[in-house]
Amino acid sequence: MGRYIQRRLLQMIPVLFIVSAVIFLVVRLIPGDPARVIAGPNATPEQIDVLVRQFGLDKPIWQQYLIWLQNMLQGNMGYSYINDYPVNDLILQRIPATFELAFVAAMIAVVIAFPLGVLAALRPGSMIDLISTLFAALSFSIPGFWLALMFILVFSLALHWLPPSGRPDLTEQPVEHFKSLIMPALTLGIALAAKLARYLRSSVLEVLSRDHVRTARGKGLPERIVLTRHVIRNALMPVVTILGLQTGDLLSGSIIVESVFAWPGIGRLTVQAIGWRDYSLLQADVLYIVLTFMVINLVTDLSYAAIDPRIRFE
Amino acid sequence: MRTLKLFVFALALIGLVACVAPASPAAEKVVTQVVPVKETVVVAGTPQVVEKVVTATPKPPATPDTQPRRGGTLNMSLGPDFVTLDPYRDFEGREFKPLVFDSLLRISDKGDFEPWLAESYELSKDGKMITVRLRKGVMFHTGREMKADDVVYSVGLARDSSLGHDLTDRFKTCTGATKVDDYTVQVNFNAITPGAFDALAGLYMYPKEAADKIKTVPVGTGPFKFQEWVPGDHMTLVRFDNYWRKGEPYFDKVVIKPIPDDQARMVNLLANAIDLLGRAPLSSQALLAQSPGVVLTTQPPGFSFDTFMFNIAKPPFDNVLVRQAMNYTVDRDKMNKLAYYGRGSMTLIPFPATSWAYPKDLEKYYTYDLDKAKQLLAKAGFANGFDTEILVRGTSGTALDVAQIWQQDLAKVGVKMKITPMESAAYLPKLTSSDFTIVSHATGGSAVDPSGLFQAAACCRPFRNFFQIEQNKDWFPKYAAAIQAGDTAVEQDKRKAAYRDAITIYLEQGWVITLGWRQFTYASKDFVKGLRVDMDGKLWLNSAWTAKQ
Repeated sequence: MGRYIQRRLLQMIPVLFIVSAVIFLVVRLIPGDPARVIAGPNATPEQIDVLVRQFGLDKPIWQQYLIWLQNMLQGNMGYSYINDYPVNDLILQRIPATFELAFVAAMIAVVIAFPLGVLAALRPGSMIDLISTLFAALSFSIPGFWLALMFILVFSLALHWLPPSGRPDLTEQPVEHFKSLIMPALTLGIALAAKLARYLRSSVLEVLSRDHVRTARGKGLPERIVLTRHVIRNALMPVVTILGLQTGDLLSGSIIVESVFAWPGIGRLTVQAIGWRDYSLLQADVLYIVLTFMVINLVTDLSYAAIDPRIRFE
Repeated sequence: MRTLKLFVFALALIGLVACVAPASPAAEKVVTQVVPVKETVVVAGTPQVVEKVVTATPKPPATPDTQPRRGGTLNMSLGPDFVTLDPYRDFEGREFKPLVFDSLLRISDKGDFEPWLAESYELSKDGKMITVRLRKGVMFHTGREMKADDVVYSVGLARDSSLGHDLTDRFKTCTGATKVDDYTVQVNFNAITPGAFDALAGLYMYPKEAADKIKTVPVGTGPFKFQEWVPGDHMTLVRFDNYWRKGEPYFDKVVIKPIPDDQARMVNLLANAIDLLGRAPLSSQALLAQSPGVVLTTQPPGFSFDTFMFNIAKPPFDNVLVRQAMNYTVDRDKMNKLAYYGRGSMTLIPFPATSWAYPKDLEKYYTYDLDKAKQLLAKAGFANGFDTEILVRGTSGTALDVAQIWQQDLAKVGVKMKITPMESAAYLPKLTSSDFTIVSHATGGSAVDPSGLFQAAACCRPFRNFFQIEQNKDWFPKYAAAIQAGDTAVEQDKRKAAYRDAITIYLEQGWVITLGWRQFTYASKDFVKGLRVDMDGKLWLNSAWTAKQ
């Protein structure tokens, strides 16, 4: 297992190099450049040239890449073109909020999806199956921004239970901090729960029809044992894959939820970087997202071994 | 039974949404408090002023009911997060500048200038030098007194085109500033510069030693001192105890939170999470005005306006008859109702009606007349219309709404217009390289003096104009000459006549269709008193206070 993890981590290095070059190129292929955006429509060509030189955009692209790569290897992701803020700091400031929101949203999703998906599969056509289907249909069809606004209307405006936005400091206002987390996490968690519940339902249904389940029941094993040892465990594989991918999404930030709840996550930072063509920030943002997905994929792969003893990493 | 409960809950939610949906403007309760500008007197902005303009330290504005009292925190959101805190750049959140920074002069509520950090100022007889006497005892947030050297430094910064900031054009004719003594400075120009006072009103003072970090750590002489900025989360400003206006400011602290979503910002105000919001969208203003305890404060018209602009080098808009026909297809009343939600100040003239330069006789130059448009199109050889495209800056908002309304009217005269919304970063290179046929674009002079329109507004300046008007050898020289005459004349009557000539050419040639004024609107809780919004839409909180117990 240890060697497998080592190997996977080593494999990430060339991938990151390739990805960094692709990101660097793609970011520059987007129409518009930071100098023109920052200078605005009233700028003279001379003013734009000043900014182009200041950002080093007048150098050949390979040279720009090598400078960026050299700085990156030294742990320096550069400075935001717009406000001179160190990119490292900008990203590191957002990561705790993003991780916290992603973790709680994933927990909410799991807590809702597991009972709903498994029970719906065990009793197809029953009331619980109907509720599960209705929940999934509503969650898929209700846009996240609408659900977020409805939460604010109900829990902030009407009931005054929860703050409508922001993320108070955990050490200074712990209660307010957790209260501020509830609505954004629910908004993301409910959408994810619907997906997981549907996958889990179909996965459990598929496993229930397998021979080994019939054999287990034929041997007279109690239904609880059949379910926990032979059904759910086998049904988890595809669900874990989905959960991994979705968690990667959550860790990349949710632009809509972050915007509505003024949550200081990585999603809004990325959008801002795209809008301003803030190359240095955008490159670092995308690299962070790529790295997140690679780590999540590794964790997901490792979790397969924990779920299914037949899988061994050598 | 459970299903029934779910159904009832869903119905309740829908009901709640219906309750908060924007009401029609007709049903609106009038609680809007608009900063009044009854007249625009720009005496101080013209070169003929030679008398010394002196005012005592301005008194805080009288409050309607009780006396201002100190204390409290103002929680507010101006919309998206700040991009930079550099006062010489105009980005999102630029409205915050007067909270931290001061300039030598400021735009008064009457639409002229008043001394601010300057105790007095005077323009020389030849109109090429402004002598500024500074107030004594004005402190920077660093604890150092602001003196003449700081003004000389700031003017130097403003003139330095290598810094690529937004002030350079305004200081184009400035040759620098000279220190006379610690509290007297002479700002010199190489030509009569009618926009000189506008330039000084936009010149925010910051100490040389703060320059390195000014983009993230703003230091000025303003009423509030910067405490921290956590990008994406909040910016905190605290009361500056050594503020030069004794007794002010009243709030202990101002916390500015980025809430980019318009609806979320509104809900935050209604849920008491913030006390003030900026950039209230037109679509929500009726609802906000109806909400108990909410007051709207709107920037007076005059600094920025929405337009459609044609690239006159691209057929068929190289034909003046086609451009004139387009001008007759614009229904400003409909646009006001549908795109400005009945709150627009529609205009054909790019000067505010309160300006001394406003040519009232030209205000009906074009009316909504589709028959006339058809006749002109037929005369131009386009009786069956044509296909065209308009680029819109942004993917939502007024610029898109007006384009959609116009699209319908154009179809009635046979013109099929494709609307292409673009994000700013992709749009700007298209605009500045004249790679478009029509654009839906907001522009403006952002100046009190009418010369500002021809100096800064993309639509109207006779240089770096994206609409190819400089290529016209017939009428463009006349247009540029009229502007030059208006800029250099001394008497106001002569200036007005010259600018009227320029506006006549502007209308006759029709490369710009002026639609309506852009105005920032702030919504605040009614316990927040003493707010001021200037003609530039900036927010002044030096005399603001809370009446909340």
